[in-house]
Amino acid sequence: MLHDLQKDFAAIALSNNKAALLGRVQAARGTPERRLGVYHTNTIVSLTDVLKAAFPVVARIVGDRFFVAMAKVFIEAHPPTQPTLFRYGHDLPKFLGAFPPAKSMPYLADVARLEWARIEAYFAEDRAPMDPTQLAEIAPEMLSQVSFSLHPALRLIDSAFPIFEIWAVNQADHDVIPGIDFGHAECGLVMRRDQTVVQRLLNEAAYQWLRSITTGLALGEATALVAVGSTNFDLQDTLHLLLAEGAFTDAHIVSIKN
Amino acid sequence: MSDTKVSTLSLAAAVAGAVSLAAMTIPSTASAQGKEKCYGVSKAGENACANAAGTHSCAGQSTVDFDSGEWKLVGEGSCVQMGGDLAPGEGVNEEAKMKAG
Amino acid sequence: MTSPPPDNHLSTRSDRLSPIPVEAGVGLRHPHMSDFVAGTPKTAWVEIHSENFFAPGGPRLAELDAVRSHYPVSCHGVGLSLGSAEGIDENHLSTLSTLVNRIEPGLVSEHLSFSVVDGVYVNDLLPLPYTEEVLAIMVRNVGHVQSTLGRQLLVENPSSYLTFAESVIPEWEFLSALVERTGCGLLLDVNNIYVSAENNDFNTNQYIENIPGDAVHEIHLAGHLVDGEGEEQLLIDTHSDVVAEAVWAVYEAALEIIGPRPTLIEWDTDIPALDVLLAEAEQAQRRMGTDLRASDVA
Repeated sequence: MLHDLQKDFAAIALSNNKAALLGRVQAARGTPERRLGVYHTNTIVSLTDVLKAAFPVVARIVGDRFFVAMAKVFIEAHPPTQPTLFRYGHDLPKFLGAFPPAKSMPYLADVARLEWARIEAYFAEDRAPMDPTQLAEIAPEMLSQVSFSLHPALRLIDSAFPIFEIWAVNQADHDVIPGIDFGHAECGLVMRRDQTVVQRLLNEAAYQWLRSITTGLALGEATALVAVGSTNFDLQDTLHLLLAEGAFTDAHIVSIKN
Repeated sequence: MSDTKVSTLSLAAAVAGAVSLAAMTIPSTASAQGKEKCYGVSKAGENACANAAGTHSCAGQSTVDFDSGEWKLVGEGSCVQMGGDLAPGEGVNEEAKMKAG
Repeated sequence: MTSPPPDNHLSTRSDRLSPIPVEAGVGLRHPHMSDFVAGTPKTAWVEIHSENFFAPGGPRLAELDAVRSHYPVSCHGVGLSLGSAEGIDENHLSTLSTLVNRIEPGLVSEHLSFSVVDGVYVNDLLPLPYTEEVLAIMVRNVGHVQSTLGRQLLVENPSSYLTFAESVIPEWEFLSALVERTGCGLLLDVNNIYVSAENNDFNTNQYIENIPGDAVHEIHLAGHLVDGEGEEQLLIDTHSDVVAEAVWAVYEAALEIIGPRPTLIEWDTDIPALDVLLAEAEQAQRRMGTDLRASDVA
């Protein structure tokens, strides 16, 4: 049966488990092991390169040898499930969070989440941002009931570690990596604007407000929620940022249940 | 209902202000905490139909044996320069720092 | 053996929209993207790896639209897994169909190989045993792809590093039967023939003489690497170098036996400066016997 043969061959490609097929392949010279090994090498090397391209900051933080060895463990545990490799790596952040050899770098999984958010933003659907003047046409007494549709490229991301700063100092154009204060949290957004991926650090209040908006809360509710607990929330400034970044594609009035 | 805590007037003023500003600029202060982070094209994995040779630098051979504790080689990355090896007292970080330094 | 495909209607639509000329083209790769977006490189056509443009939006698709406005484009797939016993992934095929409708490529091609089993994608073009069972599966899958896309598919011969004990049909006969039973075309990868012939001890001319030349609508050329030593030495299809002299010789034999065809230079690893890539294409053009660079695209 072809299907059984293909299962055995995939086991070689991913795990170098050759036993089942050694008797079924022929080598014109040399050994069947060597011939089968070509497919394993190719699969692991090419998928490692794919992960390196998607997670360049993680790769720089841990160094090449660690990354290559880590990738091999990851690939075997989480092989691609789609033949589109720009989507491969979705599971790496979670994997890193539970990977014992990475436990001295507790921020690593969140840095990977940021890198994956950038990939998702890069490949998200094209949608025109809303025209901000659309909001000016809404009657003032209805504004509290305005709900926003989110741009498909918008991603929110937060961490107990300074992941945006870690990301920035690990860009290829930084030859010297400065020391970082790992003792502070960061949160922000990732978007795609004019075909370029952008990321913006937000203060905690602005981030919580945006988080509420993304869960479907209306403008009045989300603003009240954050204004109660925060003294540094500036609605005009936050809204300005999000409109300018094109984070919303539409605004519409929702009826609020009392 | 919570929206009674935010007056119609203050909402209207904030929205009007944001709309007029958004038409002109990308903000770089306050909620955005100063720094504009705008970088170039993202890299990502690509499909290709080439094969990798066994002599390729990473060749599918694990060069770190995690089980034997070789993962201390984490010091080869930027992690140590950043001060980001955050598990002191395991006896591995000093070694890694010396290698990186 | 060399009669035209029975389903001629399959190819007419695309041929009208975006014909790939019988000239040399190059694989469109990321490091050269901005040049091709601007339309400056002098090459007759370009080929993409279809799966790299499967996203619903974003810069890559926008760049491809721009490239398409300057050059005829061919879609070369690497993930359809035509040889999968479990059949073709409908989602994947549907996304390919969307891309094909958007780009209106002159040619659409895939491989004689498999890479999907039980929903896991192995990022490689894995070999198939050449048996009647596998031929029936290939015929079914290729037929399904062609009827979904509404056009002819070209199937490429793989580079291989082993043969299966159970294989009873030579690869050239297998491909001939596939053409006869599905009306598909062939993408003849001359480097793959050479690599497979060296690794598995067969004669390249015997291969080329025994495939239906009329069904060949495209030729691939690429560089390979010699890996390992002694008995364990193998040629690996790395696409990482210039075309080897021995492969140019097989190309000339192919030109002799089946005639000139649209010819693509593939380069995927250690991608060189654009000039180096274009110089390879010019070599192919010269060997086709025409130097169209000066007269055509300028």
